[in-house]
Amino acid sequence: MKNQIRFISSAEITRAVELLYTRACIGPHHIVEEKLSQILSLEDPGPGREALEIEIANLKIAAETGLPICQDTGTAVVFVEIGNLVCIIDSSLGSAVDDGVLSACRKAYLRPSQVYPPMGARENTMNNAPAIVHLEHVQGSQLKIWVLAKGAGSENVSRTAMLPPLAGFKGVAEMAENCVRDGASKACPPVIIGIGVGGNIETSGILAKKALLRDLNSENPVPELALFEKEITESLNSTGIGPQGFGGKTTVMETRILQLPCHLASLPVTVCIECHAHRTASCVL
Amino acid sequence: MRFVTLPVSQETLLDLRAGEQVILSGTVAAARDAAHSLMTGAESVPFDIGTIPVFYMGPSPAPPGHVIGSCGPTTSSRMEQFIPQMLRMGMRTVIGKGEMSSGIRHLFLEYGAVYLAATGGAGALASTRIKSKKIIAWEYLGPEAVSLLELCRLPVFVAWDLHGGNIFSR
Repeated sequence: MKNQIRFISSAEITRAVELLYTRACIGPHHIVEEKLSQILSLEDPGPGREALEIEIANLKIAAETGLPICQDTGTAVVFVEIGNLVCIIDSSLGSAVDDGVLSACRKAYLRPSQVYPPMGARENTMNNAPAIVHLEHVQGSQLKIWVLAKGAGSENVSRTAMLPPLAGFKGVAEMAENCVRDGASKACPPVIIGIGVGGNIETSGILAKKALLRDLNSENPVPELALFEKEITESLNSTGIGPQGFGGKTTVMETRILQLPCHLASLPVTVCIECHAHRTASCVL
Repeated sequence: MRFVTLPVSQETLLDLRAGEQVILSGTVAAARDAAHSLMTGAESVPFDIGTIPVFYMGPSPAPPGHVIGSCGPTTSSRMEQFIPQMLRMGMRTVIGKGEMSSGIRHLFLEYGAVYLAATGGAGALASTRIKSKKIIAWEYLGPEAVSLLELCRLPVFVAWDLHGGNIFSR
């Protein structure tokens, strides 16, 4: 019936987040495995190729054993798209998500990696909460959830900058290149690059993260950006940094860009680097 | 590919060349940021730093039936601030991931230390190559506690050798 409110219990959201975060950290990630195998077939013999073989073997071992792919099971970054007809009952969305993260952490033996306060004592909260939740309101009666397990190795080499407003494609490409040249070897390459352009200082970061969620092997619907993404990927792969920084043809698997309007005097840009394991999972409630 | 059992002899260390894969067995000490802050500050190093390699790693919890959880290397460059003192105290082998600064590379050469890079992100595979784990200091640090690990065939790569070779040079 049109405009009928749909009630979703917070327990249902908690259960979904628990499953998604666990799935993101452990796998199986068949599409990532396929992508890395394609890259492997292009690599010449050498330590970069050997490291890529270990990366692929590791994804298989994690899925078989139920051990996390990486000991850094990350910060749980959760994107939620909520329809205007959805009403969450029993508890708030935020606490439902946190409960799911906590539950995944306990049941799947994920590493608690959150410390507080961030300056000074930095004591481990031992429950990996709170998650970082980004909410988007859409029309309809569905609730869609994406979970990204984002490790610090790749997050630490990501950057946000307010570029000169006319820096344009060249400025953004240079920023991505500096990020990769300076940090890619620490981010477990071959990496994926998410670039958020426009909005303001906080939205560029969210855009860059959201860009990482696009399906592997998919094309940017904006032709100009699709071309720019390919140019960035090709240019950065000519650096020779390679898998794990050990040398090779593929440093960057893919580049993805999202953009928004911005103030006439600004060009906010975030370049978010994502490791080769690309630990994501999503579902629709 | 070369098989090495720890503790490693000076002769073997000299023989290693940047870029080669080494299958490592024997005892290493896992320590990362918080433990380094203690070891280079008020506390002493709780293992034989001269013979036991330092593995920059903080594992995920061990599920039932496993010795250790996922346990790949963490980013070495975060430890750079502690490395000069660790080298002065006798550290000669490090296992981590990613490039470090050229200043630190020259210090490694000066002290005759070798940097081995494990495969970042390959924590599940590493877990299957560890036979025992014993926490030896600062258990309250959780995943950052210092532990001794018995490796059985962990694949690593020689990143910096004793002759100036550098796997990251392009």
